[in-house]
Amino acid sequence: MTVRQTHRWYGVAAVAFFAAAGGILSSRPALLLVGVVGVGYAAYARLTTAPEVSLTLDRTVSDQEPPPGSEVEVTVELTNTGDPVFDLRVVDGVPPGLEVTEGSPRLGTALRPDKTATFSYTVEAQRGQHEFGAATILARDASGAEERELEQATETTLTCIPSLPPAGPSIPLRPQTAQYTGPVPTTSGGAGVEFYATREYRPGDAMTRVDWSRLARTGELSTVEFREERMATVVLVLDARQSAYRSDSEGTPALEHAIDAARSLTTSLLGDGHQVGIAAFGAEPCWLAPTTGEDQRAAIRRLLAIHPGVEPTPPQSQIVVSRRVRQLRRQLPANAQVILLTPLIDDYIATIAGRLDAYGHAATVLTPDITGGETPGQRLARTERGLRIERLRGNQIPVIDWTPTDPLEQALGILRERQP
Amino acid sequence: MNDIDRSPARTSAGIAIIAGGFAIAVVSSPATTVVGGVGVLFLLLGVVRGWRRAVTIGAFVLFLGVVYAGLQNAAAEELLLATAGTVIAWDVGEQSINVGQQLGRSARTARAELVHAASSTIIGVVTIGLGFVVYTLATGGQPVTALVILLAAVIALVAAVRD
Repeated sequence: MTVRQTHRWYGVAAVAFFAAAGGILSSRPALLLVGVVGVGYAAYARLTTAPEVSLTLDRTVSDQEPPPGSEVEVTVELTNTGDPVFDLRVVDGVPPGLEVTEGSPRLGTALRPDKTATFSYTVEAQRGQHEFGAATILARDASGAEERELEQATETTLTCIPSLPPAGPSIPLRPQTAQYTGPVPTTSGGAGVEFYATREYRPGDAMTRVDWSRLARTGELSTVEFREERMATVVLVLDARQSAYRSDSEGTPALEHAIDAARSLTTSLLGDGHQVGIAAFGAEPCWLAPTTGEDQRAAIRRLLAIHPGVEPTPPQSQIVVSRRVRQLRRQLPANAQVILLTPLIDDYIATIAGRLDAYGHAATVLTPDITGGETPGQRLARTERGLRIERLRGNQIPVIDWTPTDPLEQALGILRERQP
Repeated sequence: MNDIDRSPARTSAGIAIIAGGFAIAVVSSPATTVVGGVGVLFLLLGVVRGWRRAVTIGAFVLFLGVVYAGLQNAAAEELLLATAGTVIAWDVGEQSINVGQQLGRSARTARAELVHAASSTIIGVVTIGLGFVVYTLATGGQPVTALVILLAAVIALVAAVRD
């Protein structure tokens, strides 16, 4: 609690005294009265002091777990449990990740003892776990000469976990060699459904795999091999450094687009039977080991919404990305491939994609394009990003360049056409 | 949409202009009307644009008009009312700016503003009452010196009473 003087009355008294002095010098008693008024106000400012404030704060939200984009009404009730306050100003601690869409989280009022002042405002729900901060209370005396500032806290949390889309576009995965059967085509023949090659019969081959028609035609015993299809282990890696919070022209941060894409990919990848995990280069270490199933779907949904590593507000501290990358390398299963979701607005993150790929984790880059083309600076950033994409493609790393105003499906389709 | 409109609060701004107009209206000197009018224009500029300095300059010019009337032997009650009006115009005008800065225009602030303006007005009325009583008692032939000493005594008293 701090008390400060606003000094707002100093000038008034001084000017009034000058007038009074003028009255004395010119022997005009009436003008001297001007000085009396000045003294009156000076006394008023001096004798009133900022009241001791004793309040209770109560905050209610219309929905503690709202769906994203919905309007949530926040109602704040302040009850004066102490002396009357003539000038009470309240600024509620709206979480940084929420935007006030209607009304104002601020109030100016006078509050008698045992009376309650209520105000409400509307925020738009966004993914994340939003904790309301303490309300700042400013109490002034009636003259405004002294101001007391204090904070009044009450715990309110708004948790908004967007659901995953029911269906998502499938992403072309990199060829993979893993032990589980699944839908990723490999470059080795074996058990599968698609014809791959025929080879000479070797003792022990299954009877069903013998090419009987060929035996009938030529008398040679041969075995049909099918393309082996295997389940992939995919880790979606989110770039959540400060730079990923840069917004596109509509004000949506690149990270939000990346998370949208991650939601769609989670649905399609899990739906196809792949093992999916999540990692992020963000404020906090973020890792969810890849696995399959409904529980994993729920875990990813929750992580993408409220994990502190992918907070909706930019991290305050500098992130040491190299440490996050080292951590990720330790955590990644040997056979895992990574899909790096990044706006690709610096060279460093492109290097990381290349490095992960070189370490044997086949990398794919999905990059939401948030660059603009209006100013020369924006055009430069756009060109540089284009060069980074070309360089990655030159290193045999598939890049999905996605303009977030278009459906993700479209960008994935272009990649499918690029790949033979 | 994220930016808060921090322009001055409307209620106080209106009251400040009314108080300034009142200060001009109660003094019958035409010179005061002209000088005071300029002051009120500055005041208006200040409370519309949120310029504290314009409010202060406006109130000061208005006050100069009142002092001029005093030098021209205007009646004591006119001077008392005009001075109080000027002080209230400045006080409420500044209040309108600081409420605007701290809470913004979209917040509900009328109650705090009205209470502030009302208490300033009450102080004005009380001071005028006291001043007028002293004036009528003291000017029954007594010299200005008596009033000066009385004023000095009041100042000393105010300075002595610390919170």
